[in-house]
Amino acid sequence: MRLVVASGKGGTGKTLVATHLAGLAAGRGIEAVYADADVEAPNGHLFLAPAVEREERHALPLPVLPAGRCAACGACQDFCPYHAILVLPGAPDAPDAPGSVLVFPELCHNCGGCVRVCPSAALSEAPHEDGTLREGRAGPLRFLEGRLDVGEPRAAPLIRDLLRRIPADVFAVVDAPPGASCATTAALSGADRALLVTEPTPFGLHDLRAALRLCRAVEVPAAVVLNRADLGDDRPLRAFLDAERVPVLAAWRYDPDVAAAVARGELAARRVPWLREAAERLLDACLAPAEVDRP
Amino acid sequence: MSGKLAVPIRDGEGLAARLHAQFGRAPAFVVVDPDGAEPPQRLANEGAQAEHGAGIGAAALLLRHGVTAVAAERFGPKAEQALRAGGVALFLAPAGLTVAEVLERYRAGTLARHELKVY
Repeated sequence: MRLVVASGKGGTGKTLVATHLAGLAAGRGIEAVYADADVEAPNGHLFLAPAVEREERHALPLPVLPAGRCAACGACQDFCPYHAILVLPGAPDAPDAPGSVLVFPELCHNCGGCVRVCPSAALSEAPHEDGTLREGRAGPLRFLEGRLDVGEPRAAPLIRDLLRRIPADVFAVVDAPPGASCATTAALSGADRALLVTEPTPFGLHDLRAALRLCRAVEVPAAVVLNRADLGDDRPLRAFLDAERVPVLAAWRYDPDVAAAVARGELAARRVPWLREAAERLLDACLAPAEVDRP
Repeated sequence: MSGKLAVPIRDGEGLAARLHAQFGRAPAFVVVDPDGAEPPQRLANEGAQAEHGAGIGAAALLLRHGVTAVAAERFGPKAEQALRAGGVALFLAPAGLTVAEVLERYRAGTLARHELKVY
């Protein structure tokens, strides 16, 4: 069972929900994994305080060209739909001068196609590091985390490789990045269900629409958790969810004690009894067969 | 003076065509021979609407046609990198000028050089 906790809007409480579900499941004796796929700002570790057992650098292959072997035929450039490789011909007054290439790592999708189509076998691949993968344990809970290097443009490859490390037959909770673009899409791959955490504000609703559209596009059933449910006006949000037939699995009220625990980097359920009970009930609902989300 | 000057254009034909503001997004280029030996050549910029890398595609097109100088109002960062790597001289000219006006300034040596910014 893989549950992906997403939101659209940032700051709604994805990590609050994801760390609690994973932690409580492990506390029940369920083989549980928390995977932090919010790779641009992974901060679930602050709440779970895992002991990190393995840490390794993640890399993607980029084309490289040793000097003096390129005939400047242009095959690689013509092949690449992303314009990630540019062939620079030799100078016109020196027709035998070998060509060279300019690679744009931020455009390369690391498919290796340019290397394969090179008729002079001049191109090869070299690893380009883009992030770090960490594995560990927080008590009985297994902990996985991807951390993208600052300035790297694409999160999806790192997220996909992070998710490959989730063992089969466990209860996995994936903490997805906010938004509804490539990174979130990657985090949703292989999901049995998405839990969209939102808040009753115009911003929460606006971004939830995008997140729900994404879930439907990738055919992942979605349910909603309303966080800080008593702040703002929840009527537009409730009307939208009713019309779209999206189940609301939990509505958690705003509680300064929860906010204070989060601000200290603590699992709030350890301090706030009602939240612990509410999170246990949410876990029950998540472990039960999904109410199918089909509009 | 040797080589070829390319100008991204928004509309018009030949020397009467008008300069487009953005190098990589222009629908076409006019390539002229500053020595006046060859007639202006029009090159369609097929990647103008590409999501990414439009400027690189345009640079590749111009490099294939032996262009050695480009005048535009703005160059994207990747287009600039690609053109400089290809040894192309970059000049700045305001959008709306005709190709003839750009060419005249180029010949007179009054076009502003697009200096390499070092961050």
